[in-house]
Amino acid sequence: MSRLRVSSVLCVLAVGAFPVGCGSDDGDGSRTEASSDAAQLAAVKDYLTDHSAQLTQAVGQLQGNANAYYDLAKSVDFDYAKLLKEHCPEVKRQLADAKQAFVTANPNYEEMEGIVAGVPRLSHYDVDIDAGSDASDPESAVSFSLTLDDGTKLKQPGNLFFLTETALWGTNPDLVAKDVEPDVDCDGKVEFGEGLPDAKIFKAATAEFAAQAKSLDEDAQAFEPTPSDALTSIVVMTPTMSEYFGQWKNTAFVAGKGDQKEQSFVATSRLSDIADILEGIAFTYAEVEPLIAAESPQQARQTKRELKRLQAFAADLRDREAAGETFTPKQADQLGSEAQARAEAIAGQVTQSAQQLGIELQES
Amino acid sequence: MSPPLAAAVALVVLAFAAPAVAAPPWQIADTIRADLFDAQTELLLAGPGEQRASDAGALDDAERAVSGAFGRDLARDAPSALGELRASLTAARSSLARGDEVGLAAARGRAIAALRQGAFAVAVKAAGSGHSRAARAWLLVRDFRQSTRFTRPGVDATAALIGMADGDVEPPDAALQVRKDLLDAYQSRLATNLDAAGQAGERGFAPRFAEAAALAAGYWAILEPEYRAQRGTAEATATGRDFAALSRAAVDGDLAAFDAARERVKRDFSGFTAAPFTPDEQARRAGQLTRFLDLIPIEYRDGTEDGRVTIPFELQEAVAFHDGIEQSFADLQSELAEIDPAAVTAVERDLDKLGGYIDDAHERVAIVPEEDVEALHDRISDRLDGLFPDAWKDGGSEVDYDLVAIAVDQLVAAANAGEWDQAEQARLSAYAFFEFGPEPELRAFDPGLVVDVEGLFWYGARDSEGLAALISSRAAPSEVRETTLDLTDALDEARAQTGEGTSATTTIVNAAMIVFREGLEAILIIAAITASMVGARRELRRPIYRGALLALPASVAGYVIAVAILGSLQRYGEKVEAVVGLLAVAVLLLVLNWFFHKVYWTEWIAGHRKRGKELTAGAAAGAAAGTATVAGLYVLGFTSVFREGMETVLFLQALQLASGTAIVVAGVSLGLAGTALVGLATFKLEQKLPYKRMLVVTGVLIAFVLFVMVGNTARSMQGVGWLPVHTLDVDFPLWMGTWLGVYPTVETLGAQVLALMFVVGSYYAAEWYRKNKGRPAAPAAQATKGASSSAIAGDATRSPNGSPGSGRTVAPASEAISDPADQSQALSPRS
Repeated sequence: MSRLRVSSVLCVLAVGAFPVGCGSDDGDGSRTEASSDAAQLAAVKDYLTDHSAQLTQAVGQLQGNANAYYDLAKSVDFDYAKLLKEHCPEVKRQLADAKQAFVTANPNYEEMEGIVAGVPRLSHYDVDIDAGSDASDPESAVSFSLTLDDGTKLKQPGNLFFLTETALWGTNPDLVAKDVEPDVDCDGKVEFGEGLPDAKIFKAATAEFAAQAKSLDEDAQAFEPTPSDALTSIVVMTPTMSEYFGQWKNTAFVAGKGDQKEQSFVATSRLSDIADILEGIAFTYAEVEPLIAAESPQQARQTKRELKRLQAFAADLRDREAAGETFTPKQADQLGSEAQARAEAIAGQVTQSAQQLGIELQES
Repeated sequence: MSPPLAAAVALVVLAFAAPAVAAPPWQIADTIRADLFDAQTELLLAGPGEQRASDAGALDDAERAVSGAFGRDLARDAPSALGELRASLTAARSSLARGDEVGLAAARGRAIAALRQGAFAVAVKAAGSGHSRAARAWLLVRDFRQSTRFTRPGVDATAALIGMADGDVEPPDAALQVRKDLLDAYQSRLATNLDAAGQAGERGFAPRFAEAAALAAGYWAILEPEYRAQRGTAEATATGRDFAALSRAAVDGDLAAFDAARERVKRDFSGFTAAPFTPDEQARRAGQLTRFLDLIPIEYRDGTEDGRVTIPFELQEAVAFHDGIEQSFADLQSELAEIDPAAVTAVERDLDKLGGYIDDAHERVAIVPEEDVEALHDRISDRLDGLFPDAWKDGGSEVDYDLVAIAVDQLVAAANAGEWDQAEQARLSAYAFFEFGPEPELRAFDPGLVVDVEGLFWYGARDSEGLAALISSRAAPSEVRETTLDLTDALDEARAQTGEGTSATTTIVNAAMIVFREGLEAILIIAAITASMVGARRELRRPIYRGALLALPASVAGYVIAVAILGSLQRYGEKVEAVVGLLAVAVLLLVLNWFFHKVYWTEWIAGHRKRGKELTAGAAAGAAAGTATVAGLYVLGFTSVFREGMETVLFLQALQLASGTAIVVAGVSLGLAGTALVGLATFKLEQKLPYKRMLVVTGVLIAFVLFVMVGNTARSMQGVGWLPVHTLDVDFPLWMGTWLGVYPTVETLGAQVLALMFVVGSYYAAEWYRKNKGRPAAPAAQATKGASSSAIAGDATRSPNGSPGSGRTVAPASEAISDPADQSQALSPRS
């Protein structure tokens, strides 16, 4: 065994035990020139396109249910009391299927949100699909308006997950049938989460959703991620944890059903979204980590470790909640603060890595 | 066992046996932090009296981690931080034992801040000693400024240590950058933790309340030496007491005491900046403040009229600019307070008042007269002018890039909302900020990039549609966004280009190219005009040349005057180019028509009368032309060069600021020499060309100059919103805009067609006049000399003596040019 090989083996063994620097260490003048070809990011693209295709499929299903529901409502001239009276089982089936499609679509999107929202060239989809507000806040409003079949126009009504979720679960009075008890499961009583969507709005919203999902899928197919895209997405998306924890604190999952300030996030806990988003970010980081490690092994290890820790932290909370544990707002606040602090540290570290690699982070 | 294998085994055993020794600082810091959080989480999530499995040994790893090399480094460079770290871990252990959530949270806050403080001291010291590896290792323990969509964590420390490792940065400079970057981050963190503590206190979240307050107090310890240096020991001691009271109040859950301490702390920190800005950063912020402030009365005036809001978007812009003012002012306040604290207080008060005016108008609560806003602006502006050091009075192009970014953001928001008029307004604002800000400098360094940026603002570049075209066609917001991203990229490149220093050689080459390029344009115009002045008319070249030469010093003088009055003209700045362009077109149309109609015709008569007396032809021509003609020729020569001269001086000023006068003068000399050579060659060649061919060349060139000038002027008028933009679905290459003034809009192309129609039409009008007014027809053979003018704008006029009988008519250009007799020989000196 040559001396070189011995030292290599020692190094591998030692790294297995604890993280010491074996290769070029930070600041030793062994920096590499980064280029868009330096990292193989095909896996990021595959991850993205798999999810965008799944989203398109789930939203197509959602649109199909919405159209069927619309046809039912139209058959009774949009008299919703009559609709429930004469077609309750069909309404129940269509809306239950729509909810199921929503629940499928949501993680499909959230898992790729870290990339979509973090890459400036795709991020407008995030505004329209998941993050945009209504016209009352022009700076962050969605880019679309809805035109209903009767010609009514809803100007910049809010993002598509918000519209479909709050209509299906009945938490937004503007999007549901008026003056009717929404006993959509036909059991004689109305419970939290039962919503009878305004069929015209629901149809228009899902049509827009389907169009956006399809367009995102097409753009994802054409997208060739670069290290700059990957690093930018991590820097942009990671520090949004406090916002998500803040939303979680105000959802029915923490605040209690009926006491929630958030109309959204009734179908799926925001914790689940957080864990899904972090999964996408961690996936992306894993693809660029070799590039960072070549330049600064300690920085690469630190970020990897902290990202894993954050991911495990969010997944643990999600699993606890799914197992029936409920969190108080005080706990949510404390946990969210810690998550945010960790996330900001990760974003800061990745920013340093970009600087070390000479990779320009993009303006969002 | 062979020796190498034995060594390997020994090393592996050693590695497993002493992991804490080998672990880098970031990992130890992470272990401490994570252990504390795990303990805290268990306490937080456990029910009352619930048994916690890991209580006993929860913090063992953390306490062990402090020993070893980590602890030794801290003991050497940051003993007080090490002491605080140990004390906080002890406090954490006892709080955990008591089940005291609040005490544990406060201890964790103290421990984390102590880690940052210790790492800060070791990293700065290592950097100052030139130990880049150690500095980088400890820098990883740092915290960062809170990241938002618009602000990124600082990278100056990392960049400086890389530079030091590469030998590009000296250790003292690297240490300064590390210190500055970290102080900035920790002052920011102190502020965010103060806010977080306040919110948690109001909501009754006791552990978070205590932890955030402890972190704020811990970050104060990092800033304290800088504070003491700036404000003195007494104030530093008092502020230290306020922080101690603040963290104690949070642990006690005493919100009132906390609020009181927080108010005191805020007063203590008023105007304090731990990481002093570099002179360049100060100048940039001062520039932002000044530019934003000057824009407010303009936006207010454009957005309101007679006590009502007319254009809400203008007020939105005013609000955005006021936000920018507040940030810039806060950054400079400390420095300014040392100059004149009373003036700073007065400015602060007036800025609040100005913000109130704008907010009230924006929300339609109350709309004060625009004169009030203007008066308030003037007062603030005067005070700032008195306060600002001279070095701050030129903010540089960075400010303009900031303004462009704000306007582009508003463009995207307006396009998303389908508010296309607003989007167009925002586009024009952004373009104006670019064109009247960094463009001249950028054009000096990278004209190709200017073409890209302009293309993205208008009709397309870099395979993207232009914003003007997209807005005009009400394109999908995603398309608008796509182009704005390309534009942002291009502007980033531009910012980097104009922000970088350039070598002397590059500057010399750039200066020479600018002078040569603009010089060629001037030569083209002069050559086009003088081409047909041969024979007896040669004398007429002289006033043109003199006018042209006069334009050179006038360009410099014009620039100086423009700079001197630019302050008062600033609000009209974006319209200046359009006005100048219109004037230039008017001069070209009027002077050329008048010149060719009258001078050529009368000169032809003079030449006709004095045929055979060539020696006196010059005097005769001068007499025929008269004083007015000569003056016209002076004006023509002058304006032709002055336009190019002003442009050149503007570009050169950008280079001069960047590289110094001597280097620019060297480049200018080169450029002038090249221009002179080409000019001589052109005018020599011109003399050798056959006269008949020259007539054609002259006509084409003058028509070309007019065509380009009209196209560019129409584009400028679109730029300031005086002409609408109706794009055509034609894909003209960018060079057609640059060189031919051809842009794919109805307005620009329409104006060019009209200009050509005017020229051609005037010829036909003259023909019609000639035929219908019954002038005696001249024999075709005698009529040729006026053909050059006829080809451009035919006319008929009387001779200077006013005798109808002596007047001659001009043959149609086609007739004259195709005349095989070539009567020009009779007037040409070569005849």
